[in-house]
Amino acid sequence: MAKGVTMIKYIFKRLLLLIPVSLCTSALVFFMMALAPGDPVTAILGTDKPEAVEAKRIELGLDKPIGTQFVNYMQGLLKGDLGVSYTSKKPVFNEYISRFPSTLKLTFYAMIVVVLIAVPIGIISAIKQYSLFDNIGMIVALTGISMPSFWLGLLLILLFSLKLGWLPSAGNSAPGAVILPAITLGATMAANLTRTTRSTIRTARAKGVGYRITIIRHALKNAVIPMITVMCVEFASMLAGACVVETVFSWPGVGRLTIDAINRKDRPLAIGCLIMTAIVISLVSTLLDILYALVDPRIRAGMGGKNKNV
Amino acid sequence: MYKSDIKNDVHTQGRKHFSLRGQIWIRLCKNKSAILGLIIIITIFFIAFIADHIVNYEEDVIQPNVSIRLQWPNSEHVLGTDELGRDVLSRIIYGSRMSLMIGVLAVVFSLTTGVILGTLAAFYGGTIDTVIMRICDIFEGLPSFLMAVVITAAFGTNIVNLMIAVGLGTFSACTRIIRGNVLMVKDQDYVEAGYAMGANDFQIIMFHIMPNCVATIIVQASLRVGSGITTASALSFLGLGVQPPNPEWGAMLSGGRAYLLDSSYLTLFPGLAIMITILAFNMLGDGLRDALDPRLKR
Repeated sequence: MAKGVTMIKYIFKRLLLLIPVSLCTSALVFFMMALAPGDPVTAILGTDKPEAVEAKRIELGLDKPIGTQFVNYMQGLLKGDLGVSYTSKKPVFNEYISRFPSTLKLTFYAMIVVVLIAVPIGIISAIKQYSLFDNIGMIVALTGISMPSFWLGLLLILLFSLKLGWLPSAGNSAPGAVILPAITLGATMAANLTRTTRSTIRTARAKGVGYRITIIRHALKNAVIPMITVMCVEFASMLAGACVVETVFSWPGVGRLTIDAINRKDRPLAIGCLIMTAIVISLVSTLLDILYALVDPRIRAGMGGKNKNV
Repeated sequence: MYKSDIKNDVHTQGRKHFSLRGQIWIRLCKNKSAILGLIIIITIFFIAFIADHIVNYEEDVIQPNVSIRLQWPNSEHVLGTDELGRDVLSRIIYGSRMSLMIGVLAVVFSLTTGVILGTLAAFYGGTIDTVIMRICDIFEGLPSFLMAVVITAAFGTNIVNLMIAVGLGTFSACTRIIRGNVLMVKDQDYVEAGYAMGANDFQIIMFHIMPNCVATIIVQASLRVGSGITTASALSFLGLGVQPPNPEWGAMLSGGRAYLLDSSYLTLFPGLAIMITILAFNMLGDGLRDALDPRLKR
């Protein structure tokens, strides 16, 4: 019974902690972007009409002190109002929400790529350690880690779209359009996970666990747990990686929206995208922490006492 | 008097019987891929160092020469020419300077910050620890790459800002790692012995705690230079990093992207340069980790 109470307390604490963390990250993004060179109003209206610029500045609330602007902004966020994009003239919140499913789709397929590549190769490498397969697998994994995703993406486009004509190189409407971006986004992570899977299974075998049991109990368990872990823990880095991959493949997701907004100096859109992404990430990581606490007794054990190694 | 005795003792031990450094070096030398990585890194540093002597910056790297644009690799231009007729090989050679400078300086920046903050947090604990760790939390609210995007967007795109952006994106991770390491070391007997001999906090940190963090710092440095170079070139690729006409590998890839079908060498070679560099740092980093951390070995 006491356990249940601690658990509820823990969940409550984690959810409560979400507010200051996202608030601080939002503030950091907001104030830093406010420092950005160039005046946003003259960027829309030009410099030739000073009165119009002044009026617009008052209309957008840019004449107020930066602290007040931030408070107003966060109040707007609670209502789903993040201002209007300079370039598309649409509400930033709606722009972000309408692009989000696209990114989610890309991340989801990238996860599948990660699991499909990493788990089998990791398992075989661990079982047939120091074999030819293992050596090649590990060299490929190391190369995969070292390969920048934008380069891999361009090479895939070159081979499969331009030379062979098998898959589309841009957009998300054509069938199979998700394949190349998903491979590109998943490759680095797959390489990482291959190496982790290999060493986990190696450790299990070194502990004297039998051959078949190793595969069934450890390998398969290690196929499921990383799948969930990768899904959530690496979700943040996937969203970051999506900025690059979506730009390479002209994929209409939030990553490309963010980068385009910054390149076009569309400040409300850029700030909105970054803050929304930060909130999504902290939400996901909090939910994951809670999930882990429910599953893993070690974390549960640590919750009652002093939290020494946060 | 006691202190000097102990110091001498440690020194003789270090040289004659103990030679931990020698053991690490031997272990590292046994690792072929680490040595290969080291050789590649030394070569790249050497090329970056003598770039001025083998390439004419103004003529080959910057000056457009439209009459010879988009030439496939030939005897005169070994790696071809780009969309403005500049020699790709010369630009890649000069680009090594950019990438290494940004990668290395960003890591120096983030590790210095990380070592100072991490040590303070772990050593003093309490409020200092809480404040430093909460600062890290704030910076980790966004993935390091997006944090770097924010910083370059906010402060404008030049090489110094790019370096700060890459460094600030990763300092929190460094702080956490160093903090964990210091926490592990600070309750050891030799720290207590140091206090018993009258050492102050500064001496304890510098002579008893830091030497035991060196391994972590070295491994982190070699692994993070690689990822720093990736981040910097990705930012340049997105137009948020080094601006044209400066030769940077990511920016070169971005420029060659429009000519992917007919001039694929423009995409191939700069990317290859990035990959080889990062691969070398990763190979060395892996090797160093195995050599410095015996728990992972056997």
